[in-house]
Amino acid sequence: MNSLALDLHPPARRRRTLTWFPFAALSPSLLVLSVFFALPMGMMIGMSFTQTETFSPTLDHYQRFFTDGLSIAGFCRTALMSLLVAISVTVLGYPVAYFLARSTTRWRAVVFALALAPELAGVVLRTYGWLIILEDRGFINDLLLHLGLISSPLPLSKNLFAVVVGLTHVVLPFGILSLMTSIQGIDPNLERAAQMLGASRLAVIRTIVLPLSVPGIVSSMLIAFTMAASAYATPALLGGAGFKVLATMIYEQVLFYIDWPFASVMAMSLLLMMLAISFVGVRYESRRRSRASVSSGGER
Amino acid sequence: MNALDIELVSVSKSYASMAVVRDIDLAIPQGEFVSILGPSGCGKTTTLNMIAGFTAPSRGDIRIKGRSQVRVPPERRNIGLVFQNYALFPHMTVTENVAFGLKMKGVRREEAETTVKSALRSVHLEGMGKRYPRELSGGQQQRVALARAIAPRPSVLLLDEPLSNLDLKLREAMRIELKDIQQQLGMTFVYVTHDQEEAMAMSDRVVVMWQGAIAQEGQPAALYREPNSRFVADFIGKSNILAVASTATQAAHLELAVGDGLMLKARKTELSAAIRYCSIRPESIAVLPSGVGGNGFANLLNATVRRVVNLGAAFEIDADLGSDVRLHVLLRATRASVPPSVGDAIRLGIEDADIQPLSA
Repeated sequence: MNSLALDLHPPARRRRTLTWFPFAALSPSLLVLSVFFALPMGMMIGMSFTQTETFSPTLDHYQRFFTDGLSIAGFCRTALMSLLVAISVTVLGYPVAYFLARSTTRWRAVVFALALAPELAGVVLRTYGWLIILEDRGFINDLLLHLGLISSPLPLSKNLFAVVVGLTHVVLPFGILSLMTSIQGIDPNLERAAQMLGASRLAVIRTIVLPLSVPGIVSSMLIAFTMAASAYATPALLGGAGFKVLATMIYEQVLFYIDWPFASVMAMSLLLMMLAISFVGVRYESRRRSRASVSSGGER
Repeated sequence: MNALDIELVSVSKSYASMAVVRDIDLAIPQGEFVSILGPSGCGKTTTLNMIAGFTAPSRGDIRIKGRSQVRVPPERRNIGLVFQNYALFPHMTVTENVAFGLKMKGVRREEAETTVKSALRSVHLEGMGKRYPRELSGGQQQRVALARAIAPRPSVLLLDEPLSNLDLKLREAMRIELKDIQQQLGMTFVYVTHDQEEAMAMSDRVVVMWQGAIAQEGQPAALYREPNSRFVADFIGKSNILAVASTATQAAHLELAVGDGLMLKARKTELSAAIRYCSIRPESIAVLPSGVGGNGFANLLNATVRRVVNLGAAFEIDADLGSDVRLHVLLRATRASVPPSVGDAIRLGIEDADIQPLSA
């Protein structure tokens, strides 16, 4: 009896050690986050449910959000813009990521530096760059007017198009990195095997690389979507008054209308949008992975 | 004479200034099982990659069925390849893996289904079609890789150390099976390996590579019996390799002076280059009791037993011949054979034909 208890004891204790230690490692960052993140967040949530004059709980701000028309439109604009950025980042980034994952030439280092270089210049700087190119009196319109191809400037700025272009530029390196990591995880012999079986380069990408890099595609879309939805500077400068998104609208509420409770409601809607998208993405990934592990249940 | 399936004509490959493969000439007839055998870094994998089309030769020509392949991409060479790590598509079932090549070739669905079934049958994996690769054992994955490679009926099948990830028992079973499959299909197999036993067991012909060049090629038995260099003698099987100080031609024999004044009688050879070594296989040396018999041997040598290792099926005896010469002798373990003890005086009998003179 005694010896049995002795036998059972050590593994149980070891397991307990393993469970608390990782949490202990979290504590410094938990502390910082709770003071500078959870606390303001709580205040924001509280504010969104509070009457401005009487400080009594209310749903008035939410009602206004759903009925004034402008707010819902802003919400939809933000979602649409983020989705378009997610798609364009992933589509544009994929070939670059594939090159970076597979190339062994000296060009790899050059392309890698070029792909990440945009992050060295600040967001505002890059956005002004795009403004110079896309404005009514900007480079593209000037050129086309000069060549006589158009008679009045094309609407290239202060709209969805300009914001998507600018944000794609900002977010692209993150998309490339996450796609690259995923493609690097695919055994290059799989591509060679497919080639030996008669698959053209394009067929190899379609039948082998794309399906196996789905996790990378999902994470690239998630990163791009959340970065785009929360971006302020680029929509503010390239969208302006013509294309307002939640981030710029929140700023307006706080600074011009000094309506903190309503700004909080908008912030809540933005937060929930991103949480919902992340949840869908993570859920998709974990279901895919559990399917894979169910099929790996057999002997190895 | 069979038609030639693969020809390598003075093929070389160098990276920067490093020559990895030097001037290889090789002709493989249709239906032959050829092994390219060599230690790691000998250029065998580079040679395989050049045949597959993943690496372009720096010089020379590669022909498949008489047609130059140098400018043909891998997907149009109609060659099968079995990878060391199998490289099965993890997101496809066994059936989908095996059908992949047929699908790429645009084979009709019904026809593909029959072909996949017969390919799976030939590797004994019927009924496994719906599983995913990770649900299979290493040996089963190996079979799927083989079925996938043979399903589109390539003209040649390349195998890159396909058995090296399997355990010994399975590896030995797969050797026999691979050979059977090859004979059933009548397909040309080019088998790359560093395992000489594997190469000997399966091949019609073995090509031994060393330092980027072909050291020797021939039937397994001939390579074993008559290695042409110290490297081949040592790499294929075990051998006693003795340095030869001088040679003298007698009426019936070639006399080789080894060690510190010991003379060995070998058969006369047509070797033009100077003989610098000789090789004696441990199992070709007879152990005789001291003092009696053994008149049939060209060489009768007195020796002292230094060590006896029991290998189960045989005893490995380390025999000291004096004059600085030691020989490893393999004594087959039979009910009648009593191994000598350490310190015993024994006599060793070696036939003249069993001493292989080497010039390099």
